[in-house]
Amino acid sequence: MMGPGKNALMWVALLLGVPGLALAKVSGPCVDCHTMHNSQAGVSMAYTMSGATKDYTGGPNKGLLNTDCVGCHQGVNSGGAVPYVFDSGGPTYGTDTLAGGNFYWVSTNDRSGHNVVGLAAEDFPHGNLPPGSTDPEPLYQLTCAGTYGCHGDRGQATDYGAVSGAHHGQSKAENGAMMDGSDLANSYRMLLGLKGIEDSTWEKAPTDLLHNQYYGIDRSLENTPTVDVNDNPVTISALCAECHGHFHANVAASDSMESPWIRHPTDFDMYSVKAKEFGDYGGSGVNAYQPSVPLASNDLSRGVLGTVLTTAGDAIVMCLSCHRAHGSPYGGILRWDYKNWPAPGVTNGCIICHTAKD
Amino acid sequence: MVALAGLFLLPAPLWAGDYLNSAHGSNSYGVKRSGMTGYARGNCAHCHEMHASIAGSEPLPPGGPSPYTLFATNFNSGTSLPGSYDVADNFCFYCHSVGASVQPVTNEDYSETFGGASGGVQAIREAFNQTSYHDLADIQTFMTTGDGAAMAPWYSADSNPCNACHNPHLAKRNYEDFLTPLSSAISKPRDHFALWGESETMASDSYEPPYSTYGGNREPDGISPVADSAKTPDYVGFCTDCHNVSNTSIPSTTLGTLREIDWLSIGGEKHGGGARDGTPPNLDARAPYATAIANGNFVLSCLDCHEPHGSPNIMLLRRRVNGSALNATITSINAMGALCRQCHKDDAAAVGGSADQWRYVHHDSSDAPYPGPPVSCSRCHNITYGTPIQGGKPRIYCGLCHFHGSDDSWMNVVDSGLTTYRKTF
Repeated sequence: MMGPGKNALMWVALLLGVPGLALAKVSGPCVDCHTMHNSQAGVSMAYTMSGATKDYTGGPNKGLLNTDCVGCHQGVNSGGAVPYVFDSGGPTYGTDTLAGGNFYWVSTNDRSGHNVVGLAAEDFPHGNLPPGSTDPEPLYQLTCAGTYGCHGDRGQATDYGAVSGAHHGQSKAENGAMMDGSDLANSYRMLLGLKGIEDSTWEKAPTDLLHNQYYGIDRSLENTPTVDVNDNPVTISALCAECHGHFHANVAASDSMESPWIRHPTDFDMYSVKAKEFGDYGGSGVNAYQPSVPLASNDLSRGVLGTVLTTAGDAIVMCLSCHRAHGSPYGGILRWDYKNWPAPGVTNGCIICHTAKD
Repeated sequence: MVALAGLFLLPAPLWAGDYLNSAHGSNSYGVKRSGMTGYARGNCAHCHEMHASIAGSEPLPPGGPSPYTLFATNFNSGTSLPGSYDVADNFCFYCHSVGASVQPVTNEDYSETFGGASGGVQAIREAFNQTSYHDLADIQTFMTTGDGAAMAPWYSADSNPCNACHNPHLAKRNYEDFLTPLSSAISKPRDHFALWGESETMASDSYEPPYSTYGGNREPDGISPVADSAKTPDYVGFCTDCHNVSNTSIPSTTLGTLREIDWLSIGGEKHGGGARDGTPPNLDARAPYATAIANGNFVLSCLDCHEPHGSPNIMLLRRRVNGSALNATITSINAMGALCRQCHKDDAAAVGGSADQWRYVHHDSSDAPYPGPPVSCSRCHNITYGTPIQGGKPRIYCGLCHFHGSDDSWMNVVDSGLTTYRKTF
């Protein structure tokens, strides 16, 4: 937890552009990210991205930033310190993409990613209304952060304000510890309030032992499992549910969180059905964690799990078990080429859990 | 590179497993919902909608969320009308109906598929919409609140009664492969998650396959005159999972509580494990049973006489048995001769008498139960116990003696001295 005094100091340091004072998750010269006057030798420094081209005509960015979310997080992932979520040149899925996938694909196909401002136009045919929404259509298109975004403080209207300070915050993740959601810097992937353990390479090359450890809960144990928001709304799936509510809450035919499902369950513990085919996730008797079909845990104190289905709560199905958060080559932002399965050579992640359906 | 990435992201593809080898999962002939463009044949999405929608919209056919993420309600137990089922009454009927809008699938009845018949119904729904049918609501009741509930805890109130006998993720096109192992479409209620009948065959039951064309080729393949009981799944083992002596209260809207069936035990029914009357070649039966001597005692398959889904005859009785069509539609248990004469010698076959007359086997054969015949014919052959026939004494109702588990004890009301207590089924 960052105290108010330390927070104020950080802001002072930020405004003064003094490198090294920030208790930085981000490190390096301030100029890497900030421009004090949007001017260097009379040339504008602040820009936004238009495809792969920098546009310097828009004037200064908020927070004295050189650029915006897309500008910073656009590039080719090669193992550096900055996670790139958009590669305008077209990434190779699974090779230079990260856990969230890549927004490249939504720039070419609405069905293949979240239609974030600056990366894609409004969705057709859904406009700004997320499928499964329990609310009226939002007034504005999805943004990276802020009121209409996923990251940062959604009490803030803009991307900049929503993540302000978070890149400089002292993060427990720097020590590989769990993000407890106590503040933005300590929220999983700056998703305010969410718990999780962050893989240091953003799952560029995940293994059963090296991967994000998502936080989930077994909603069948909740008092009101069919209410949109969890009793404990700090799971990654609960975040998705804020826009795609029906897909999270209204999944069971009855008021209880149990089969028969009317929608695929999320925040549901496969451990409770391990006597069925699901008990062979990751191999019968092996149950190795499968980064291709990730599961959440309700006890992050156990760290990153290499083996699941050993105890209740360690094999929780979530939205991200099937979907990428940003974009993928496949419709529905799915992790695998679902539509073209079955066919020789086409893999189907469904069978990782539904092991008798191969 | 992309291929390499794919291999890294997901385990090596399995080609093919149980589902992919099934009729629904086949990429060649599996499920393919007409409203689902772009999805490979056999894909889950043709039946299941993971979010009760596809791409945020409701694809055809319309309808809200349904249990098991199906695109429509599994079974409308409250509104379905046995014998006149609508497509919407049962999820399976969206495809297994003539002219189905989702994906019309042709399924002929057992008599046609394996028995050499022609001209029958062409889809499962139409099979159920005949004179007799395996009442789906009765199955639902049996499986949820009857004896079936204990047998099959996997079955729920939202299950489809078709699933009592079929596992849609395993069932194969059973008419394609008569080699070992067979291709099976059925799963026992008690063992839903495995196919039954691929290695479990009638070869274990002293089974003599009937003709598909009388005097010619045999069931079920209809292409060889050689009797091979290993080509027929063990339907006895399958059907008796429910129809046995333990399940004493199988409900039937049409028939009341069904009779218990003791098919396989030595003391059971003589069409089953019970000893037959007579021995080939002195058996009052037609070919192939009259001459087949390899089997010490014939055990018939349930599907030698019955259709599994529905029939134009009562009691799900087949319209073609032992290689030829029945010469009449059976509308009453008291007039079953059209079925019996397919394997048993009526007077026409035995002594050149009339078709569907049965004096020979009842009175004149060497092992006739009432030889002679006894004096005073009219004590039995009267209109209280029989149907008047032209040129003869009333023909005794078949149903007095011949039904599952029966003997001739009804005759005690006439003359207990005539009663043989011989098994009559």
